[in-house]
Amino acid sequence: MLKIENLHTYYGNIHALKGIDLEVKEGEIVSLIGSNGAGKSTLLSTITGVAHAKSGSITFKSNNITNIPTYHIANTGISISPEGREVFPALTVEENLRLGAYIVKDKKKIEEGYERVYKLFPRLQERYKQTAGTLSGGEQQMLAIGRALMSNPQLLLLDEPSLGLAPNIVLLIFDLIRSINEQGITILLIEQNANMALSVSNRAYVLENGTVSMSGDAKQIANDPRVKKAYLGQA
Amino acid sequence: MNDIKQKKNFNIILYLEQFIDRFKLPLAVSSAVLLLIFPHLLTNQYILTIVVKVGIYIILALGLNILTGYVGLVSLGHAGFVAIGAYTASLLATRLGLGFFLSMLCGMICAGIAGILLGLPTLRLSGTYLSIVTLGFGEIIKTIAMNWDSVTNGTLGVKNIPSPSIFGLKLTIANGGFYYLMLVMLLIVTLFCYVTYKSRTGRAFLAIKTDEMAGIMMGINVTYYKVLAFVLSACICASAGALYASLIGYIDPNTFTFDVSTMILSIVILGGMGTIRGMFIGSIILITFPELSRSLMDYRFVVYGLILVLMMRFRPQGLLGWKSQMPYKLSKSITRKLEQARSDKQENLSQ
Repeated sequence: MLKIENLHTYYGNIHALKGIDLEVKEGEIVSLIGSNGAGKSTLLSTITGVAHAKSGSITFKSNNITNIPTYHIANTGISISPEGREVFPALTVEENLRLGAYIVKDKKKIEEGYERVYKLFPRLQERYKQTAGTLSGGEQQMLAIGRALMSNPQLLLLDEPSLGLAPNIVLLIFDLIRSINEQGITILLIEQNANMALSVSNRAYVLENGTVSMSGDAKQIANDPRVKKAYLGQA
Repeated sequence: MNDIKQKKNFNIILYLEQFIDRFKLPLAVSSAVLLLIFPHLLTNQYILTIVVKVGIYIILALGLNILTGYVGLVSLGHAGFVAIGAYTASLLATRLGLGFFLSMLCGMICAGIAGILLGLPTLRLSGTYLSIVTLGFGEIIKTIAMNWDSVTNGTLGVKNIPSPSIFGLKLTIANGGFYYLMLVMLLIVTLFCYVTYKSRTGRAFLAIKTDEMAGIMMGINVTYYKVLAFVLSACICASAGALYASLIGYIDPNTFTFDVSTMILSIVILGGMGTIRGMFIGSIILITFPELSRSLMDYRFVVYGLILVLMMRFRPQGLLGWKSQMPYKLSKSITRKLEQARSDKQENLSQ
């Protein structure tokens, strides 16, 4: 579904991504793990066109989407829940979701979107008229994911959904990620919490200094001694 | 703590809102009737001129509100757009003898082009940086008007600007026609702003105002909408400028000083950024106050400043603040679904 080939991205003179190859197949949850500065977020911003790729290609459903303007991304069927949530704090939950469906013109589909999101996150339904800034961190994360779902995407990019959340909320969020995937939405998950990410994923990629150092089945990676040592805190 | 304090302040507004909401229809009808027969109630042309001036400033404020209130870009140079509208319209009317509406339209188009020219290079700017650039823009337009003698007649200004006329009937303050013209234009602009705000475009503006990056991720073309806001804002202000020129009958570069820009911005801020009703209240207060307080002589501007300072202290979101105090209203289909979901839940619980 999403295929990245030999991708190079620079920030000025800094070579941030040094030839990334990555593939996400339809219906999968693929996680991308790595420590700070490994290039996870750079990869995501290159996919979404925020950062510019110097060479290499990104294809989504056989369309070349390398370096497309960021606002076109939503139209291709890719939806993003950005790092740090970035909900619209002054707007209500309802309005946030409405903006998520910005590219959808069919009113019926928007209603369906509301219904789907409220079914997944009953908590958001309870707070539909509250401004997003007054929600707790976990609720804001749910809202960010819900907002991303409103545009009816085929591929959902989740950037650090567990960032700054309590462990039991993290469990809940990952449960929800699994059930979103069961609805037929492919997910690319970018996470620092390797343990959680690997437990829900089908496959995983480990990024290190701008290159893919390891890739394969999520369980295999979770059992790999190097990963265990570097990310899972086990000797 | 802060929250509780603010809630006390809100109460008056909430009661006012509830009162207005309850008596919506009679209030609307009576004020519409009052507005319609207003010129017949009083023959004092001085007061009528002030009322028309208030109306013109409401249009100006609604124009700036699109940029400042909806998109969150503060402009200190809107006098420039007003000047472009006024100069284009009055020059076309005096030199080429074009009718008022046609020349106003040309003025709006010119200002729209100027809006694109100002909007494109300032895309990356916001906050104080943008304010400084727009301030410069206003000064540039004023200087051009002052020095382009062959066209604008320099510091001498444009004289004998004809009053607008419809089918040979001259619309002046004396016969009340100008008042009705202002009323119609105000109605059109208000409706336009309302429809824009409620539309897809309005939602895009709102997203850009709150979080530009998240807006882009939702698929909003920020470049397009920012420039669009500049253009719409410029066009509306230009139309008000053309109206003003034909009201006074004379314009010179000093008609469009920095004071005009700050006045428009003050109205927007005092009334409440992003609201439409706030623009009405703001203009009424800020335009009539200097006239009402003529007895205070020069001190009136001290009081004027004091009003603004006090308001910033006690109601920073503007008199008729940004968010309504009334409970948030949802579309009916959603309310129905919510209620159904809730009753389902209760049934499940009771079982």
